[in-house]
Amino acid sequence: MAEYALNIARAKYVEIRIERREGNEILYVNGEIKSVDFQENYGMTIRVIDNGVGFCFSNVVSKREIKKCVERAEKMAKLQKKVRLSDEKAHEDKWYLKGDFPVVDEKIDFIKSLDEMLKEHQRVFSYNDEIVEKLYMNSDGSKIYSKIPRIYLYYLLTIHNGKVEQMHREFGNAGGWELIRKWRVDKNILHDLSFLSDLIKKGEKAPSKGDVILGPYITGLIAHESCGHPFEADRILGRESAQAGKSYATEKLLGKKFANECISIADNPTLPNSYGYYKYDDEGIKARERILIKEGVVNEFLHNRQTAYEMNCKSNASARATYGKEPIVRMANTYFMPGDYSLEEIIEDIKEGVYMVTYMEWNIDDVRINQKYVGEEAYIIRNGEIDGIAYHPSIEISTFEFYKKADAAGEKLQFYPATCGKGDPMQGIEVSTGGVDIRIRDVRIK
Amino acid sequence: MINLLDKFDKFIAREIERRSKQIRFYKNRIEVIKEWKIKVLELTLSKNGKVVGISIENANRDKLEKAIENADKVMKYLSPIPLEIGVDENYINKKTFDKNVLDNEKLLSKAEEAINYALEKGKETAGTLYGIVEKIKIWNSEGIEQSDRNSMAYLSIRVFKENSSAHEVSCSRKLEKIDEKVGRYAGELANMTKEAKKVKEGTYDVVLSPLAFSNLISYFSSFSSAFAVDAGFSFLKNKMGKKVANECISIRDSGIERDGIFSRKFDDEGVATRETSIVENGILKNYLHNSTTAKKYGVKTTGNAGIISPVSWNTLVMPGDYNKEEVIDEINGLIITNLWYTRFHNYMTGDFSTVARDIAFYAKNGEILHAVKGIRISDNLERILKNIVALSKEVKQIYWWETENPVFCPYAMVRNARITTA
Repeated sequence: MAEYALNIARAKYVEIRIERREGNEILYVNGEIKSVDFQENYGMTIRVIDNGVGFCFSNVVSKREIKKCVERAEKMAKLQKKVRLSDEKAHEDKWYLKGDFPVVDEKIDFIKSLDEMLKEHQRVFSYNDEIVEKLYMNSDGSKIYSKIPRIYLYYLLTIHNGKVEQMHREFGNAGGWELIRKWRVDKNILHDLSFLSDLIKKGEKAPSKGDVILGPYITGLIAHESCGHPFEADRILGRESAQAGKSYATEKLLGKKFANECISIADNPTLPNSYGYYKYDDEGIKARERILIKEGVVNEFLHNRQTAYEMNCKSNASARATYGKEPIVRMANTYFMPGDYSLEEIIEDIKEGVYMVTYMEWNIDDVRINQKYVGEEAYIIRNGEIDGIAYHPSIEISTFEFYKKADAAGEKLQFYPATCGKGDPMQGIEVSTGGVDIRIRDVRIK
Repeated sequence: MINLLDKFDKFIAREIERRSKQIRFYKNRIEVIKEWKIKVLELTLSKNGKVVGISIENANRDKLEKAIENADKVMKYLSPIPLEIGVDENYINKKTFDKNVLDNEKLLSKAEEAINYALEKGKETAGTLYGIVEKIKIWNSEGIEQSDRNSMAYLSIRVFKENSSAHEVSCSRKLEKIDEKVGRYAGELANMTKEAKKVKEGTYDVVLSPLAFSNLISYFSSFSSAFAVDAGFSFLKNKMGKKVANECISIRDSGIERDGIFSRKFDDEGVATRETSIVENGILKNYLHNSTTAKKYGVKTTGNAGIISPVSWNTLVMPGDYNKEEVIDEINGLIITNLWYTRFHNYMTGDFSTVARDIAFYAKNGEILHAVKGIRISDNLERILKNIVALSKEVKQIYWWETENPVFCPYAMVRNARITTA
């Protein structure tokens, strides 16, 4: 059927994506199952490029519907705006990632065992898994079949003990049920319970100025928000300006020194079992690691075929789409590349400062300069040692100041799953954020 | 086909058929037209107190039989959970419907006009225009069989001029009521390019435009869901009958608003939608309920099902006594025209921050002295609501990327909002 779409299309370029998603969601609140839901999606998207772009989605997958969709998309694509795609090698391939899921009782028993650890507290567990099967074909000759399972768990823990404190965590991978035990969710819960209790009893105000170490959970987010997003070429070119915003970056930034030499940031879809894993993007381009910042110098942006054409380069396989939506430039797994320092070495010469390990609240402006992170698990550093718990320290810092003041990168890289929002209509897509301990010197702490 | 569900003690079946179109433009040109056609059957099935939800696209008898077989298999592993299906057939259907929201030519023409208006004063523009038509049928084990149809259109346009930008939206159930001139208003606002300066951190009186205020109110609406209260996603726990806002604030949820783009004849159980007071003169009056949460709280459903989590339809912030100009004329502080990236540090205390987006101003005695850059509100939502001292008579329906449920929203003046900077 997919070939039929290509055969009947008259436009210069046409692509079809037929997609099936089977998913299961379980919601557990305060010791009670709230819902056990099963979804099956099966539909097709057709994208035609003539002058402009015509895009049609239907969840009726039949020859008759394909013909209607192609005709409608071709008609819609006759617009003033001239869209062109970079020339790319066509691929024919099939790729799979192994992974299955058990029947629902095993999943419920697992969540129940975690829930019982928190029975004296307010808590939410949200679990989902899915298997996504896609067939992608385009008029340039690409034909790619893929099948990938994904698994995810979220919890929000609230404790009341004079004060109210909350902590949430996410766990996720591409792969099946066998990965869930590796997350050690139980260990995280015990840690969070103990920390929040100590925070209420012993949390103290952080110093108002000093050196700050941001842990991997926060720096992963920083890599995503202040480097990954602004390096999305569609944002640089203004295509997302009405919603997700623009970027401080311009083409002139390529090859320029942007950060201290200890900073290198990559985005890599090919990391095995990573939450943002894929082998080919949703334009049929073979995925590879993208080095965004190399030893402080801006190296490359994230491209789909449209932005690559406009910037006169090749796509680096960053086109991704959620079910029924258009492929747009997205991150996959964005991370600070490890440095040489142990945490002890990073701390040892700090006279006064804080070590921020987790956050609840963060935000950044729509050109990705003015960013804020508020610590939930955070510690005070005095004379080179952890010396107490910091109560909700926050930093508000410009992206340029952050990358200039970052002077040490830790050796231990850790990844965290996330759902990244972008596009109109909104497309929440699976990514991971990877971080190492990063030290920034002489910043205002609130 | 639906009679296959009679074997369950309780069931709800909702068939949703939705057609959507989007015109998307950037750098002053329309780049893409998109169309979606989707049909889905959503089932909630209960036997011996065990409940399963199943979603089937393009359902037919075979798919439904397979889904029922799967539900039977899964149920043996589940424990019973509460599921109530209410009955209230006092349907009020005064909302308008307009099939023209899917007319390609009319949508294109509207988008082109909006772009042209934007470029009268602006230099660059981007945005989207949507048209959506939805048909919903519902059947449940209480014997309800009803249908509904809805239309909505909305234009979201951002205009840039040098280092400045402004955003406007227009939302309606009818395409002809979409005001393409919002492109001009955004252009005029973006063109007020007085030099943007930093301001010191501290407390400021702040005027929030409807676009900015609606962002905070849409979070408040989600916090008023009884599910959010139970799960720890709301600061409204144990606040019933207590003051949560200044007395000038009254907030309602309405599923029956004539031009409300989320108005619905019935909720996800089949219960008639209505208008519900959430806050009356600053006092918390009701959470939003489905029949299950209502039973738990010992109250009647408010017709806001969501099967698991009650949802808001259209949020109405009741208008104030002031003209828009009067709200602004009084200001000694900041005027914020848009907000984004609102994030909560603690849902149960309401501590949050949000970033001012697009043009913002510093004003003294209502006179704009300069534009402002790099500010965020870092405060507490309950405190913000308690510090609102004036609302405009003018109310605008807002729905866009950062206001995910429609809010009929006035201008608001907040005393002593905490402003922080990088």
